[in-house]
Amino acid sequence: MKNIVIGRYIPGNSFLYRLDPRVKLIALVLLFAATFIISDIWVMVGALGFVIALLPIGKISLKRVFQGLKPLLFLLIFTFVFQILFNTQGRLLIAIPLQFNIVNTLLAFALFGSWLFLKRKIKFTFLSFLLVLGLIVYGFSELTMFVPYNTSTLAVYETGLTMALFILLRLIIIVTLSTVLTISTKPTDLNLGLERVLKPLKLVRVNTEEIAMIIGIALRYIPTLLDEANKIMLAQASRGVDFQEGKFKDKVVQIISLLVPMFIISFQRSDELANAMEARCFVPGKPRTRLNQLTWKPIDSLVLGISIMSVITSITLRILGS
Amino acid sequence: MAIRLDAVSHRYTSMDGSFFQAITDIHLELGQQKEMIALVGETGSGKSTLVQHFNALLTPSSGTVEVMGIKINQETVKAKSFKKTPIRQHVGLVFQFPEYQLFEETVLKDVSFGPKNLGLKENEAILKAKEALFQVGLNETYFERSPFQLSGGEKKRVSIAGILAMEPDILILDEPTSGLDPAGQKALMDLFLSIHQKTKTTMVFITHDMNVVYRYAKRILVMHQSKLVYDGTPQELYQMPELRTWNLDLPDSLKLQTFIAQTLQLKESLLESSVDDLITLIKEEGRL
Ligand SMILES: Nc1ncnc2c1ncn2[C@@H]1O[C@H](COP(=O)(O)OP(=O)(O)OP(=O)(O)O)[C@@H](O)[C@H]1O
Ligand SMILES: [Mg+2]
Repeated sequence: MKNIVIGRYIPGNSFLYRLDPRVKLIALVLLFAATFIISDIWVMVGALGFVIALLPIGKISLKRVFQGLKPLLFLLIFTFVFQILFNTQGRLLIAIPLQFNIVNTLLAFALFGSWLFLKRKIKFTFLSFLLVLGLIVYGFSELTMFVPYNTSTLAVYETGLTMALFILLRLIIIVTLSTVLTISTKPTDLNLGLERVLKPLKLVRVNTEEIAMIIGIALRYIPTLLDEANKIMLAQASRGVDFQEGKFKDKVVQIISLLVPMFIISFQRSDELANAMEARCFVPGKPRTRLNQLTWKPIDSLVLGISIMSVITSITLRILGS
Repeated sequence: MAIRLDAVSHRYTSMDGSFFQAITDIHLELGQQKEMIALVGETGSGKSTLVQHFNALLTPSSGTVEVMGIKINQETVKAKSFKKTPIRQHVGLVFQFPEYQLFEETVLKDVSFGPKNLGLKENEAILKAKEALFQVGLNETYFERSPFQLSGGEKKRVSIAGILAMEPDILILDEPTSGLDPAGQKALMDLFLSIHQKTKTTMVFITHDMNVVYRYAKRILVMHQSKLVYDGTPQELYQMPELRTWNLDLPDSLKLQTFIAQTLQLKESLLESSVDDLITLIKEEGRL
């Protein structure tokens, strides 16, 4: 629970930290747009290289960003495999005949059983297990002395592979950029930036200040609520709850024992916060001054320029490419 | 052997990957004598961290905690066969704001949550819950009420009953009286004392109030800057010159005694003298 990186600010010092939050937000949107416009896989690889190069320059540790990607690992792999297996357009790249015979089927079952048994003892990732499983099925299907009862082909097509890589890279870029934004920007700055960026919406009577306030408070309270959740987990553990174990029915009660106090604490917190804000004469919708004014620096123009250039470049490349 | 700590240190890992050493090299034994033990020390000295090792909520970064013969250290907890629930049955820990742990619809259900987690049948758990509620001074009229509609002090009692219902051999209380008015504080501490006398459980309570220590504790542990700096009787502690550096105060009655000794310019210490001695002394001196 402590490793949730998305949405956490980590103090540091680099040009990314000093950048105007408005610029960061606009640049983020522009770069997102660029990744959606890019239609060539090599350009996409280049874009990823660009984003990764940004990390050491901005003094953001690769490890942190990777931790941000970790919770999405399953999603990334799932979309990747899904695309590869089910997209049958373009040139046929690889066709692996798979023959299911008695030997490899039995072996697969035995392996699955031993995995179920062994995973309690040794740390196995599900992925390495799948890899071994695939190799075994493939390896034994070459042995023709056993009579196959079913023959099928594992086929990978060109478009499938490129699409899969494409989506993978796009997701990685988007998550990395968002993580970089939240790591390098204080929630209050982010909030202020958001408010300013959304200002044009005021013309259509959207209360942008309130939206920014709500988002800002939500971001601010993520770590606080995580800490509270941790405390409640400890308190319930003292009452004999074992969060790692239990049947499904126990699990439900365990989760309720965590959620109910969390709700109550959240409501209490929001009540207290509302009182504190009112005590300081907060009136929704009234114009407010800020302690820290945003100032536009040359680096801001530079970053904004680069972002706009990226969009233009990706559009040009797309037109040229098609 | 109840609880034994052998060279226990704990460090927290914070978000930016840095470490914070919360307790350092603690050696401690408790629970053989069935006593009331006070744990004091300034804010941030590591008291809460220390007691969370007593029931395996935290695993020491180095060193070993032994609870009722079960060894807890970095190696042992990795084993699949390692079960924490029995430890939590032996050692009950009541957190600083225990009212946050309430979640059931009725008081009785909430208190029976602990025993049920220990594997007791519904009706047995309810029985234990009722006993525990009577122990903390809440009668049948409370059983079917919602825990969220009680006063602060009542909530506290309910959550304490939630731990008592598990019938721990050792009861740990993290600042049990915080947030209560003086009368409520005294009532709660008297309650612990009577439970202690009846059930002969070892109790460890964290407090900032030296008057509470003076009145209730036979043994006192002092934490200072992540280290256990004193383990002994309160009487000896009161005469130690380090008291100031540990940011501890004398209890009010002892302050009064020192004041009397100073104004009367007495040489010998009054700490050992009884109330009657003091009264005669004041009367005599008053006549002079
Ligand atoms: N989950 C945590 N992560 C990081 N540091 C922590 C955590 N919990 C406590 N600490 C730090 O460890 C130190 C000891 O904390 P602890 O809660 O044990 O102190 P305490 O003696 O109980 O203080 P208090 O009297 O205020 O309750 C503190 O400096 C605190 O900032
Ligand atoms: Mg504490």
